[in-house]
Amino acid sequence: MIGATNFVKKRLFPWRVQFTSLHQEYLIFLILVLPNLTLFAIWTYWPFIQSIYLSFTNWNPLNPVKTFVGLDNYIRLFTQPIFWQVLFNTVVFTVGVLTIRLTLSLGLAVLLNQKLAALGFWRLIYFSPHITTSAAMALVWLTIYDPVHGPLQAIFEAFGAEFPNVLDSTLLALPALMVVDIWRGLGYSTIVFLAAMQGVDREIKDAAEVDGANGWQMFRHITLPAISPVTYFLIVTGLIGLFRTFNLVQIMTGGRPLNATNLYVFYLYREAFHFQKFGYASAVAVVMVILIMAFTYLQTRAAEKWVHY
Amino acid sequence: MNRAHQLPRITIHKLLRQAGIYTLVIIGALFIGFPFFQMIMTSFKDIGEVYRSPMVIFPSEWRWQNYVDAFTLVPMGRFAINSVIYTVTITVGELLMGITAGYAFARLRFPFREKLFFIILITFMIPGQITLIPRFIMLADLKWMDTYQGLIIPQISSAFGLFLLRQNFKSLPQEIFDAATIDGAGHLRKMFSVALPMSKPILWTVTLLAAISHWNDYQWPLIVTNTPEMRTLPLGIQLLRSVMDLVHWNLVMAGATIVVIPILILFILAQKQFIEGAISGALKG
Repeated sequence: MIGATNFVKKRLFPWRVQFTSLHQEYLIFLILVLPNLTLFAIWTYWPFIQSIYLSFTNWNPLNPVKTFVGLDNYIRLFTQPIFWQVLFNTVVFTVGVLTIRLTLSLGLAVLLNQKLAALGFWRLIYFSPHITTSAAMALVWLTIYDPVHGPLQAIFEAFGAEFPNVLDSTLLALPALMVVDIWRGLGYSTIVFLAAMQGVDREIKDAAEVDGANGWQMFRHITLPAISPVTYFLIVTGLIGLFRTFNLVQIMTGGRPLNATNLYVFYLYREAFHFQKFGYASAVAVVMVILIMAFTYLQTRAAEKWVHY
Repeated sequence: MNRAHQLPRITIHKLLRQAGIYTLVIIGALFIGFPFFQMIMTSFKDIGEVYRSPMVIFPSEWRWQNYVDAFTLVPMGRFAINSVIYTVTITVGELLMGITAGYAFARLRFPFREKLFFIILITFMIPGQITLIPRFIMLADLKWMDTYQGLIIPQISSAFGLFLLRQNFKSLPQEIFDAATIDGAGHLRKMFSVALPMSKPILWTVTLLAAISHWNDYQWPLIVTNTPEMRTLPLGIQLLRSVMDLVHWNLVMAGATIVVIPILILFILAQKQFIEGAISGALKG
C-alpha cells in the first residue's frame, strides 16, 4: 500500500522525490529574482512592446478607438520638416556639448593631475553640478541669462557692450542651453579622466621620459591610448544621456524661439502629452531607440580601431 | 658651475608653470561655482534689488524672510514631504531588489542564469522615454495617476543597482561562503550575515546614487502628477515662478536653494562614496 502511494507520488510529482539541495537552490534563486523580474516585465518590457505596437496605431486618449494605420506614423514623421529640425538640433546639441565638454575636461584633468594642493577641494567644486537638481539649476541659469538684470548683462555693460537676449535668439538659444549642459557635466568627465590618468602605469611613463619623450609626446602616445577605454565609455554614455535632454528645454525655453531649442525628447513629450498624439509619439520614441542602438553599435565598431584595452 | 647658473631659471620656470596651472583651475572653478553663488545671493535679495540694472552682487540686507515667503506662497512643505516619501521608498525598494536579485545572480546556480541577467542588463540600453506613454496609459487604467503608488512602483526596478551589487557579491572570496556552509548557514543566512556586512561601501554608493537621482527626478513626476498636492520639490519650485505676475526671482531662488542644499550637504559629507561610485562605473564597465 505504502509502496503504491510512493509509486504514484513518484509519477505525479517527480520533482518532489528528487528534491535535492540543487533544486532548493533553484527555488531560492526564483524567490529572490522573481519580484525584480516581475517589476521589470510589467513596467519595462511590456511598455516597450506596447510602444512598438502603439506606433502602428493612431491612438489618442480622447478617441479610445485604436485603429491600425500601418506605417502612417513613420511616414508622417519622416516627411515632417519639424522632425528633421528637431533631429538636427539634437545632433548639434549632443555632439557639440560632448566635444567641448570632453576636450575641456581632458585639459582640466591634466591640470589637476599635476600634484595640485587641495585636490579634494577642487574635485568637490567641479563635481557638484553633476549631482545637483537640474530642474532647480535651470531656473538659476534663467537669471544668469537675464538680458536686463543678469550678471552677464552687468559684465557686458562694464565693457560698454550690450548683452543680447540669448534665449530669445534663434541663433544663440541653443548654444546657451549647451553651455548649461557643459557646466553640468564638466566635472564628472574631468574626475573620471583624472582617475584614469592616475591609473596609468608610472613605469611606462618613466621609461618614456628616459627615452627623451617630452610632455606632449607622453600625453599623445602614452596617456591618451591608456585612458581610451574611459574616453569610449564617456562618449557612449554621454551621447545617450545628452540625446535624452529634457528638463533644460522644458524649463528654460519650451523649445522656443521658433523650435530653435526643440530637442528630441521634448518634442516627443509635447506630441504625446500636450497634443495627445500617442500613436505618433510612440513612433517618435521607437525611432529614438533605433537611433541610439544604431549609434551605440557604430561606436562599438569604431572603438575597435582606437580603444586599447 | 653650469648647474649653478641654471638652477634659478628652472625654479622661475616652474613657478610660472604652477601659477599658470592654478590660474586655469581657479577660472574653471569660478565658472562651475558661479551659478551656486548667484542662486544663494539672489535668494536673499529684496525684490527691488532683483530687478535693479545693472545687477548688485550682494544683497544689501539678508532677507531670510524670502524663505518663509517661498513656503507660504506655494505648499512647499507638502512638496518636501512628497519628495522625501518618493526618494526614500524608491531607494529602499531599489536596494532590496538589488540585494536579493544581485545575490542570486552572483552566488546561486540556476539554468540560463547569465542569459537571464543579460536580459535585465538590456534595460540599460532602453531609454526610459520609450516606456513613458504605455506606462502613462497603464497608470490611467489602474487609476494610479496622481498617487504615490503610481509615482513609486514603476520606478523601483533598476538595472543599475542590481548590476553594481551583483558585481560586488561576485567578487567576494568563495572560502568565506564555504566556511558559512560548513557552519550550517543557508543561502538567505549567507546573504544577510556574510555578503551584506562585507559589502558596506558598495551599499553606500548604491544608496547615495539612487537617492540623489530620484531626489532630482523631474520628467516622471511631471507626467504622473497633476495636482499641486502630489508634486515633488523639483516640480513644485517651478510654481514659484508662475504664481505671481511679476516673477519674484528671489523667492524662486530660495526654492531652488531649498532643493539643492540637502544634496550639497550630503555630497560634502559623503564625497568619497559619490566620486568613487561615479568612477567605478566608468573604470570597470
